[in-house]
Amino acid sequence: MTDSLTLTNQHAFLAQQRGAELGHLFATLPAGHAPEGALQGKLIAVRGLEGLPRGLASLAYRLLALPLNPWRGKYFDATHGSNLWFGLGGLRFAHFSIDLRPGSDGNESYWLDYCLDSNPRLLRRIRGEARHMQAGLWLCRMHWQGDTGLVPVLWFTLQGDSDAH
Amino acid sequence: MHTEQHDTVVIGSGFGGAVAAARLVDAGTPVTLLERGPWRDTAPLADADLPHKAPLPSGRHFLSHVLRRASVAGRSIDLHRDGLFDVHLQRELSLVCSSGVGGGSHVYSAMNVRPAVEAFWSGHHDDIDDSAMEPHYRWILSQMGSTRVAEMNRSVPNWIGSDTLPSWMTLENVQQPALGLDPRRGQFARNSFFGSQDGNKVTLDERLLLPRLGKGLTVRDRHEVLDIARAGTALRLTVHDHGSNQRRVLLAERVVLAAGTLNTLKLLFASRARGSLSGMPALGLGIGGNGDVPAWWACREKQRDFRPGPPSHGRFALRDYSECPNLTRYGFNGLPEPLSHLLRRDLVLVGMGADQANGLARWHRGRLLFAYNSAANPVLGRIHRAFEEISRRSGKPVRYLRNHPLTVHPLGGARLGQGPLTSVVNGNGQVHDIPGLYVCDAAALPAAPGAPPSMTIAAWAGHVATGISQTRIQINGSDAA
Repeated sequence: MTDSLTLTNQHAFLAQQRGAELGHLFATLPAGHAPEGALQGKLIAVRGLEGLPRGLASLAYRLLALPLNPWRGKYFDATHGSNLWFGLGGLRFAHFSIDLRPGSDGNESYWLDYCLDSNPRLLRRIRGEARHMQAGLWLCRMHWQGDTGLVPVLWFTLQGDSDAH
Repeated sequence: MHTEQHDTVVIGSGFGGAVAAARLVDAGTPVTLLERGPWRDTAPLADADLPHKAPLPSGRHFLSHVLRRASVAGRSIDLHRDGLFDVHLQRELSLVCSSGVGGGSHVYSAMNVRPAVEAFWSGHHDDIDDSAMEPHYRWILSQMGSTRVAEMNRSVPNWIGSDTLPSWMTLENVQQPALGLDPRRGQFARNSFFGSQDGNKVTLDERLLLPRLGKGLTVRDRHEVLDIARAGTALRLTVHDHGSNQRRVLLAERVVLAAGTLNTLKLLFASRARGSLSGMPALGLGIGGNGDVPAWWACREKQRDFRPGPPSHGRFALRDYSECPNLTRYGFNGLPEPLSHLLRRDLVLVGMGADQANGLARWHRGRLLFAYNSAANPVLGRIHRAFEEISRRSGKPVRYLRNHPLTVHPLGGARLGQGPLTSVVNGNGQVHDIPGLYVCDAAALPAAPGAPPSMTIAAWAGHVATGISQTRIQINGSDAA
């Protein structure tokens, strides 16, 4: 069994790593268990903050985790999902479809595609991928679909009921 | 994205890691060795083609390179990535350990001895006894040298056996240790706890690692492992490369953990706290300090300079003193001037004996904390009384920390045993219920040897490596079939 303190410790460890380093870790993970239900999201790396010293970047992500940031996580059912705002039971906005397919590094991922009619046009260029890291924890990478390809933009974790897995 | 895949990764390059790596490579296993410290710039490595070598703490490098990490009550601060020592100060047990390719062999007293405790290996696991371990002792002694000073063909300064001793001190019935020395090298100066730049002291980097580089062994210095996780049937390591300040992820079929007791325990506790590893209910049990008690004997001997000489001057006992512990003498060798000059006529004494290894290590909010009861380890009181007796007989003060045990030989916490409720590793050194993860440093020792433990750690590492090699051969054989 994995408790919330364990997940907090793992999140803190991941938040000390840079995007490229998380990419190395991501490449070793299987797609694993599918995310399901309302999962709490925590940012761990954002493109543009890569140049900051590790301690400063970690501080910035802790600030982004404060209630000032309204994003709380994601909700998943079998084929679709939504972002959760202001609370895990709060507003659902920015929807995506879910598919198990090769991710940006060629390994299998849960692929989150925001190219849906229900989303504002700007959001339709967002793509995401999630892989199961350990009981109750998924590591996720978001991309921007540019004209020439995918650009990784940020990393976050999703935490949920660990006993379910 | 490219992921590094390895057959066997060894973490640490001291008497556990270097021996395990050498024995595995000799048996045909490709090994990647990760060491958090640098290669050291010593005479035997002068011609070695290594991209980075860091100086030992000496001369103008003393202050900058003497400490790598300092910690008080479990809160640590990194001081210099090429520093030699970690100092961990805690109320009940303080520890000193070293870093660098070759690990503790740079800073040890070069005393190559078997356990002082008889039948040390018996009674801890059904498959292990002293006769099973004897070939591994013989192997490491043959590699590191087992020179007795009496056999050297030239005089060694300050060797206790050729010294004029006070009448109350005796060498009768005291067995002198074999020393890992190369008398052809150096002038027995700079041959201390701060390393041996001229190579007079035999070290693991030159004897075991350098000859195997490129022959199955890859050494990555300045690579510190931060996390061990299970990844399917393999193990995933998150590693910080201090050279490039980047983190890397490695996958390995098997991982041999030999980072030294303190860092091995930190790594296991931290990985478990993140959920990367699970189980190990007995982790932290059986901590000991091997009964170490260091002291400063301000003897102020006239016309003497005790600094040059072998790392240890040798053992002695007190005449007509019934319960004399294991006592060893050292000079203040390697300290910077003018401190070294000031202390040239004084001696360091170390008392040692088997403590009960009954302490406890625990993980609390990211800190490794030790509980160790001095009163429950009577050997410490016996050593204190011997120091008081030396002070009384010599009329010169012997200063030591009576109420704050300090050891350079921490052991246990991931000890060998029969089952997971009382021990962390089985008779093969593998962590119970975590296939592919082995512990082969002093953390796995089931008791205190009561003597310098380097050969005992090396023997255990040899045993673990032999078992891994045999298992690999069986698996490869069945695959081929």
